[in-house]
Amino acid sequence: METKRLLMIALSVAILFTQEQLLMFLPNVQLTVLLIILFVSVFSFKESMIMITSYVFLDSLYMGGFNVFYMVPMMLSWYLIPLSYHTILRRTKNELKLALFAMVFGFIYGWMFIPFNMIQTGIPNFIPYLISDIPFELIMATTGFLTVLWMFKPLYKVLSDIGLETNKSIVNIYK
Amino acid sequence: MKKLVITIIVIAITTASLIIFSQLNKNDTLGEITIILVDEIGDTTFNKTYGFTESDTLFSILDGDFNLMCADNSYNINDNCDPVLFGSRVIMKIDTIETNWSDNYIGIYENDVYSTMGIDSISLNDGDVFTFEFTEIGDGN
Repeated sequence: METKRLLMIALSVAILFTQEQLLMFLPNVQLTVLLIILFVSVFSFKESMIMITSYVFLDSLYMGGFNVFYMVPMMLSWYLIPLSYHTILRRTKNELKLALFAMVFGFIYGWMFIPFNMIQTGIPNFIPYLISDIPFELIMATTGFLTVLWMFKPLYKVLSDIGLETNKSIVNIYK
Repeated sequence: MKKLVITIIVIAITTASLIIFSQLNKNDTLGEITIILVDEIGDTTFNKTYGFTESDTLFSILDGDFNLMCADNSYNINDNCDPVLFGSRVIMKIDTIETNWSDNYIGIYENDVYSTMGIDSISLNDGDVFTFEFTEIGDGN
């Protein structure tokens, strides 16, 4: 892997982690969905998976000492973004499509934790978990939708201008 | 313009949904509740009935009678129990019942049914019995 791209992955993880910690006082209001969609759109699938794995490991280490009930659903959820982006979303750069995806993702992210919470607490009632998480999912879905709708295009342009976009980088390697 | 309209619609729907959701949990005007504390060996260490009004919360009633400690952002025990902007405070210690979140926590039961809502989201209804039980992780019923 090109050193520049390796460094960009490391910087992406640092940006993701820092903004998350800075916005921690507002539950589920963060730029993580926007930033991961943005980075996934400029990184290759493999680079995206490396970035997400590093981010989740760092976050889990800092927040919960590698608590599997926290780390595994988080990892699975974030992996859905590169998986979806390279399959059903067909690498689209359409901000509205990506914003709708970010909105749906807000709910999927919350649902992913439910079975793990059920195992952790040993209480197998599905519905109360689902209901109690709805306000947080709503906030995350709305934040994801609005941030992607308004900020994806300008941020993508910045990353493209510095030559981070995948195709440009591959061309540069062969030069 | 299209983006602005979509933004306004989404914000309006979200705000309305959050308001409706918060209205679903309202206290009775007046009543009595019972608070029970169960320690780590399963013994009931406290059992008392309190009167409440519409403006009371489960937290304020507990706070009036017990030494409480709450979780901070990283789920470390902290004596700062100020209200949080969204969601609910997490009580880590009630008098001698102290938990560390990673191995155990204080489970809240409302009328013997496990509550998946936090203490700030629970409404008070006349005759409710709230049990605060030291619970080992993976040991729920």
